[in-house]
Amino acid sequence: MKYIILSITSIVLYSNTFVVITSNHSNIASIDKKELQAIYLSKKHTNLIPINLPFNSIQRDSFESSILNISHTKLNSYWIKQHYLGKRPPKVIKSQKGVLLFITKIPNSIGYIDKKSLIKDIKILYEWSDNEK
Amino acid sequence: MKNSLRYRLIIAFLTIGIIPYAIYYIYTTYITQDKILTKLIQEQIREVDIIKATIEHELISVQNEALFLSSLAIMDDIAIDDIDKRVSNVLKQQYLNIQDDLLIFGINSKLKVVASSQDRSINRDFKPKEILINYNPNSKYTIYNNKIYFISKIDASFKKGLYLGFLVIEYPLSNLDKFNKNEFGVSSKIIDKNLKKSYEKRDKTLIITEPFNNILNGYSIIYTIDKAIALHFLYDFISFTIYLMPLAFIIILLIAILFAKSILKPIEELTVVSEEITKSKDYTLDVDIQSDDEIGRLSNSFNKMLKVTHGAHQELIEKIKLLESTKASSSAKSAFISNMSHELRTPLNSIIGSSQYIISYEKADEKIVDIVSNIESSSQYLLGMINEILDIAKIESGYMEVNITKVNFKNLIQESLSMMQLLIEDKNLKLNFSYDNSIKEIIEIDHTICTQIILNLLSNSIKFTKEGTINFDVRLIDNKIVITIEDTGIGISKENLSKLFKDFTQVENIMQSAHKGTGLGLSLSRKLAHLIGGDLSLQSDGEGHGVKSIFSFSS
Repeated sequence: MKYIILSITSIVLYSNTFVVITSNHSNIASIDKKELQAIYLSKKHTNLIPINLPFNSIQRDSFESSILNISHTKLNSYWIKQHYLGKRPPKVIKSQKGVLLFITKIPNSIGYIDKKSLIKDIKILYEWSDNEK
Repeated sequence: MKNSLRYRLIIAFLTIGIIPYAIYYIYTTYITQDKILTKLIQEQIREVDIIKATIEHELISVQNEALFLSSLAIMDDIAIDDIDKRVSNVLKQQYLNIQDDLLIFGINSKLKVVASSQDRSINRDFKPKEILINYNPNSKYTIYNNKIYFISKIDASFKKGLYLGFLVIEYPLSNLDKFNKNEFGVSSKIIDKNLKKSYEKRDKTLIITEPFNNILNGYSIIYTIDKAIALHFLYDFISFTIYLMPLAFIIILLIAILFAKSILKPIEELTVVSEEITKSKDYTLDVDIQSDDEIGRLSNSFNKMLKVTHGAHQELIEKIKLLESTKASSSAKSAFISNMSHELRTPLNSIIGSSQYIISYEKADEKIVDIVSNIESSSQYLLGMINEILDIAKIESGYMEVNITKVNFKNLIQESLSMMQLLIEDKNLKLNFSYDNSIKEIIEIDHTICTQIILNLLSNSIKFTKEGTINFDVRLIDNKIVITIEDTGIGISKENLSKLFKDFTQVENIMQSAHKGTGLGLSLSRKLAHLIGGDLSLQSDGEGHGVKSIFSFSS
């Protein structure tokens, strides 16, 4: 029993689950990984406003490695190149709370947070876990 | 004393000293003050311009700050009411950078302060709300309640045209107090009245006003300059000059007196010496003045003059002495001659008398009469000579007396002529006699002297004329009786003419042997003529041309 509890706890701790979210009022219902890549790398013209969490946050690390499938160094050099083409990386908001507030306030904005931080009136567009590769 | 040189010198010195001082004083008091004020005004106007520009610059930089802050990407956090405090941090940081006392607000679209440089303002409604409600994109500032509100709209960086709120900088006008000046009598103030750009001079202050443009439009900066403090230095200087004036006057007066004294000292010495000389008649004194200037030269020439005067004085004294001794010896001589002649005449008269007795003696034989006649004539000649010498000596020693009486002049002339008649007839000479009848019958003259002169001249003419005529002419010319006796005799050369009137001179010895004469006749005649106030002169055209004697005297 002791082991079971320990193992469940460890699974829960270890395998964080993240969700890509938007406001309930947004028109979109779901989004796939490719679309997310296009939006977050500014490769596609869209009216969606992507929100990042700060660099070095667990959520962003996971998002970059699991969804964007790109190393941090590569991502950096990618944005440097894009900078000269007049494109900017997605807006960064410091906290998950901020992301949630932003999403509720600004229509068509999307962001990602820990699944456990979810609040009501938020639509989940995509979900992933750390072990997913 | 008023007209003395010293007084005039002192006045001149004072004038030279005081006039520039007075001019300088007037210049400083009136003109310099005005100049300083004008310059002060110009300086202050320049300073006002600079301050105004500085203030405007500062306000514009605050405004730019607002614009800059509102354009930051981080302002997007206003959308989430700055839940992460990132905007507030930036504003606080910025507040620290700007050193003024101001507040920076991040305001969301509901006009609620969500971020601020000051924590306690957060989560309150922004006041005054109306400035945001009435926000006009063209005017990025509003002045309200002595505060300037720089307002900049925040737009979302992630989505064009999405308005998130405002960035407002609240800038109290009291910040501008640091530009107020209050030193050296100059004080400046920013007032919320739009005064015209001007400056005015008042009795005690100068006022310069300059209106603001742009942000502070409606406000003016006003400079008040306290003349008393601004011109403090000048006033000090002027009062210093006034206090110094009596001292300067005294110094100039002293210098003037000393100078006048030193200039006049040699002149006074000169005066003293000359007065002393006038008093003592001691010309050996001299002035001791050692200087190279005009006064030195004057005293030098004064000394020279003294020497010359001294010399002349001495010479004069010697000459007078000489003259006195000469006079004494001359009169002694005359007295001697006079005595001698007198002593000589007595024996001579007895010789003549005895000779005449022998001649008239009936028994004397012819040969003896001849010899005695010779003795008698020689004695007569000697007696005549002695008489003449006696007369000359008398005249020279001043014993000759003039005895003026009333005389019938025509009779006198005729008597004289008749006395000579025999001699003229002897030599077969022709006499032409003319007489001017306008001459008064009776005139006052010394009978003896006049007769003696006429006889002398007539006898000379007869003596030196072998043949021919003698013109005897008496006439009245210019109230003077002029007697002219002209002969056709041997005449006289011009050089001899001048010698004739000297005592004991007779021209040529030959003449003397041929014509008996003492040589005293003409000399005596002239002396006699002078004695009665007349004159005697001789004219001749040379030897062989006769002689013209002119005797004139006033009637």
